[in-house]
Amino acid sequence: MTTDPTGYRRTGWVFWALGGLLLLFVVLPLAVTIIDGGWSGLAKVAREWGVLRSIGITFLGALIATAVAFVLGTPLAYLLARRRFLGKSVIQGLVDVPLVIPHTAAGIALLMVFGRQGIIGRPFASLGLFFTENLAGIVIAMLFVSLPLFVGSAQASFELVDTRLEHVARTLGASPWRSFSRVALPLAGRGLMAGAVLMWARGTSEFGAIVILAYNPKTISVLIWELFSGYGLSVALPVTALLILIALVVLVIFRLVLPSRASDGRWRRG
Amino acid sequence: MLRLTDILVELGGFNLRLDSLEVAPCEYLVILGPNGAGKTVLLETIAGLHPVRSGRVEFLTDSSGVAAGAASTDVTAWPPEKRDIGFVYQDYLLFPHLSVEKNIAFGLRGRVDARDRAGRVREAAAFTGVDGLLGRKVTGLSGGEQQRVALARALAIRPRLLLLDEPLAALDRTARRDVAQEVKRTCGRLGVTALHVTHSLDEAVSLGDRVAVVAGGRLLQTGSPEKVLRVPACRQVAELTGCENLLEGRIIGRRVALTGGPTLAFAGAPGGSAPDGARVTVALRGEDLVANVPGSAGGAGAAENCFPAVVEAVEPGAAHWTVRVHCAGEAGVASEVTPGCSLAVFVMPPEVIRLGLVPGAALELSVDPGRVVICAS
Repeated sequence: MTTDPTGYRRTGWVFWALGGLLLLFVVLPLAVTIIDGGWSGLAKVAREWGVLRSIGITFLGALIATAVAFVLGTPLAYLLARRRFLGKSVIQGLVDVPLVIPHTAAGIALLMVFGRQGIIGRPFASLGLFFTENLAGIVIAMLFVSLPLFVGSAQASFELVDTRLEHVARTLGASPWRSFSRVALPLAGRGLMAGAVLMWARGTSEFGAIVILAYNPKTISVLIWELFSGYGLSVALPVTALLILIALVVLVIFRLVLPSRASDGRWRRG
Repeated sequence: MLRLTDILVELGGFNLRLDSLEVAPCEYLVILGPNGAGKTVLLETIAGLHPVRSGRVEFLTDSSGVAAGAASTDVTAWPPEKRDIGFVYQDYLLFPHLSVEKNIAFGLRGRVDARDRAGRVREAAAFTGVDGLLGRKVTGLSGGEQQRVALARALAIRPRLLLLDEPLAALDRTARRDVAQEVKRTCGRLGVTALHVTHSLDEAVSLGDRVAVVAGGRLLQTGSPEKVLRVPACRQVAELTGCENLLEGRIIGRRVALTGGPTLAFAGAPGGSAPDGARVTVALRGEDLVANVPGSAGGAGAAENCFPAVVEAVEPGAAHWTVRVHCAGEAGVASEVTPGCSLAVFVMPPEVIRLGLVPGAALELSVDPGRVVICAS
């Protein structure tokens, strides 16, 4: 018979009760939607071309946005993690700005640049290249609102890599590039992947900026909105349930395969 | 081998200043200083890891030794990867994502052909006795093993200079003893010049061919361990080398009158003669004060500097005990009325028993005039 002097078992129920309320708040909507959506409704909707195409565009757009963020954001995260320079806090703040801008507002701001009359949009439009109402617009919107998630995570990952490891690499003969690519990058790699997953997930759920910049082709959140506002709850329900199921499956896969940060700051699987 | 001149490094709020430091080929130089003294920054500067505000870092190409006018190369602007300097940090810093073998091989890419690399790795591993660990992952190794791998990694590139940043600090007592002597022996065998940084006086004295004392970002003194202990250039060096007794005194001819304490004869002073009446700091090392039964003449040569004292406290220790005594001014010498002075004396445990040293006991102390050190303040 174990004697537990800490008393955590006895007193922890308050924490569990409070936390449990929050968990219930998450689980209840998901469960009710899936159950009410009904299996037959789900199965039918899962075969509809429009729905599948929408899911595909959503996932693809988020993937491209994440890839762009990875290529451009990793160097930025490294600089922020390693160097001290004038205006660093300003740049740090800039990276976080998309998080605090309402997404419809972000969409409009992006339209001012990438729209057909926009600063960048106009010269490209004369060449026949457009950034709105297509996949490019979706990618731009997703990239803008979710890049802070990647850059923040990447920066934290680089900060966890001891600078002196790179110092040692340099003294052993590695150029700055080699000490980055052979030491810093591999060691931060798990954190970078986790940040990418986070960004991808956030990108797939984007709505406000996409609605402004690229209503068509419809991402899944736009599709659900259109079904709901145009035809009502019962029509939107099966698609919603399907998407929630898919999202849960993807999340579980990622959690099992990719690392997340444990309490000591180190990355672990699962 | 290496010469630093007028170095100034500004790092955030910390400044490192060095007038001049020279390291001879094959020398094992120990840099001694308290934590925060700038020892790591100094090593990193030598390795080329920090911008240098002013000053020069030079490699001396004259292999016959450091001499005025020896041919030298100014490497102040050289990047770290060109300097051929091995660096071993205090917590080893092995690459955690690479095996032991890959760690040791890291510096060989670009230096050695792929087919010779394995041989060089095995050779370097043999230097420090880790050839049995080559296939292992780095995470399972003990502290001593990691240290040896870190050393092998640095030696694999056949560096002209090996920089060791507190290499023994993270090891337990047994590992420390073994690794210390091995490192020095290996450097000697391979003809590698080494700079070993530490805050441990024991390491400095037992390992260094020469010792450089650094504190507050400045170089205070360089010399053999004997010299630095026996003739500290200033009060701070005496403190840093563990001198227990630093007292004020006034010079009277060839003797110094300690404030509140006895007047002692001394032999020599730094920089030649010390002017009469000058106020100076006197350093008496705990191990140089000899305790004896009251009334005995002491050693033949030490009879001159005998004075009585009373035990205040006795502190046990591992290798020696520290006996704190109180002694009054010498009778018959005109001096201000003072409450006396306190001294710390190192006594071996059997002696503590023989002399009956307990608080309140009387004893006689003597010290060789050659061991009475007059410091600049």
